[in-house]
Amino acid sequence: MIKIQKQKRISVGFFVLALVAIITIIPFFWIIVSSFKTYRETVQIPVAFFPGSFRNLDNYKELFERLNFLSYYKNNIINTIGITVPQLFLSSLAAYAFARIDFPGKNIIFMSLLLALMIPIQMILMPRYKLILDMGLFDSYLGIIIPSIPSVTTTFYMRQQIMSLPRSLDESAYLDGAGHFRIFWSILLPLCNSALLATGIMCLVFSWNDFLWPLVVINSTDKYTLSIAVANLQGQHLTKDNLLFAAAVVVSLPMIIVFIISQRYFIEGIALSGIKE
Amino acid sequence: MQLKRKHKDWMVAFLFIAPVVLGLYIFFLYPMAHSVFISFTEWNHLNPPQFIGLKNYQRLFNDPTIWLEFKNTLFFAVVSVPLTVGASLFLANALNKKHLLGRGVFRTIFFLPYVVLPVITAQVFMIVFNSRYGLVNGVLRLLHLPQPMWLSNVMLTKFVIILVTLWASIGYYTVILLAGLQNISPQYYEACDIDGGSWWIKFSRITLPMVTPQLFFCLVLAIINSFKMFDYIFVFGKSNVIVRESIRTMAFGIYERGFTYLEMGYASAEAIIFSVIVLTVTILQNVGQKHWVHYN
Repeated sequence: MIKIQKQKRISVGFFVLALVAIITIIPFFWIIVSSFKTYRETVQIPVAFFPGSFRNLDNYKELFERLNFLSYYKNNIINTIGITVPQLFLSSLAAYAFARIDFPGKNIIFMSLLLALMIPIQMILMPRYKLILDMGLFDSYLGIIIPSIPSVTTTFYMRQQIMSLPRSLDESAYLDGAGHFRIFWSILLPLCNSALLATGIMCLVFSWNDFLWPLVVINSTDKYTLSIAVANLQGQHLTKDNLLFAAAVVVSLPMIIVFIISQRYFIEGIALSGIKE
Repeated sequence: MQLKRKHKDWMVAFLFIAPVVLGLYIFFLYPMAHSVFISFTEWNHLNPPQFIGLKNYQRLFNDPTIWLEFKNTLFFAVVSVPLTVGASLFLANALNKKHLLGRGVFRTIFFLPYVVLPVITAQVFMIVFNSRYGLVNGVLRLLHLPQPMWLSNVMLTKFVIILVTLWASIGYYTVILLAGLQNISPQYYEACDIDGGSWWIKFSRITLPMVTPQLFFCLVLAIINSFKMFDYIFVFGKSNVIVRESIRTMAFGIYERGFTYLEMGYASAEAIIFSVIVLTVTILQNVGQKHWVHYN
């Protein structure tokens, strides 16, 4: 009797979840389906739920003819890798020092970083823009990349991670006279692989999707990121909605593939962020 | 010998932390202090800044547009934060069943919107909610239901933006909350089962108190994200001036004043007020958490 009730409850939960999942997936379905529609089919009333032909690739052709999508892709990849790789390395390096070395002012410096964590980007937009201008980095990749490299959150996660490793691992190496960089690079960092992947992927998504800061720093069309290019697509009167759907597929697909392949680390990275010190 | 090594350790430590710490000081803390200075000046970033005292702040408090931005910012936070976090808790709780079919698939689907460029998400939703040829009204027509002009009505536009934020971020908070729920030892539920506790007792006496640390984290994050929301407002306001003027938030206003109208001083004054609000809310939450968050 009890057993029957239990099974029933599970199935109710399952149906609710399935319903929410369907609603969640509808916009994706709509994007893909609509990217094959002609303009007429896109604005047709009543709504055409399916395109006349799934072999109509005109939207994709027009998209690549009108916009230099490959170069926006290239820009996004340069910025994202330019931010993620140095951020992981430098944050872990700092995290090692905070976790394993005693030095004067450690706590004060660490606490001061907390302040940087709490500042909303809007507060520093104008002065940072001026700084970038003065440094001669305006309208350059480096103008996007350099200010985005130092990260409080990544440093915190990596510090947590290193602190969770047993001290005995590095103590013997230390007594044998191994330098700190050796201990960090060859002993501890390899043990942080999955944490590195998890935080790295979060950083990847964040910099790939970032819109406001590139919008402030970048001026010339050939340095546009995907976000800026897509946002500008809308302003042009010539833009038709069917073209936007094709753009949505082209722009979102790589990130979705990255996500599906590396899901485990995504989920781990986020779950990690919810566990407070 | 010992002392020598100690000093060498200090040197190494400073070297190791230098890039991150200097980077944060140069690109976060220094600009923070500098923006306080800029807020007391008139500056169009072509001429040198002119010191004008508190004039920007006086103007700010008498500017009806800024009041509107303030109200909209609060509105989005007050409506979308409980909705998003509440819905995420519901989903996480539904996912946290031992014998649930396809849990991994569900989690993947709920999380998928998070990886889409926000700029794309906003534009797709604008087309989906188009009053003439949008999918939503197309379905409503099939069902013979009224078809509202979603993006011509201020309230409905705000509603659509809230839906966009819900769709895009629900998976993120669900994953955090689910991780918290999975940490709860099944023994508690077993004990409750023996005592004949109902579904509600289990949820309110075991699940909810045990997940408060993650719930707190999600609330803090959701509020900050809601305050900082820029991309959606930018895209929704871009094609229609009337819409833009009615949905604008402080985060959008700061950008527009600074970089479209080149009023850097005035924009900085708004940024300072904005940051004070964000910091106050964060501090209040941290103080308030003692009363309801249980760490064990």
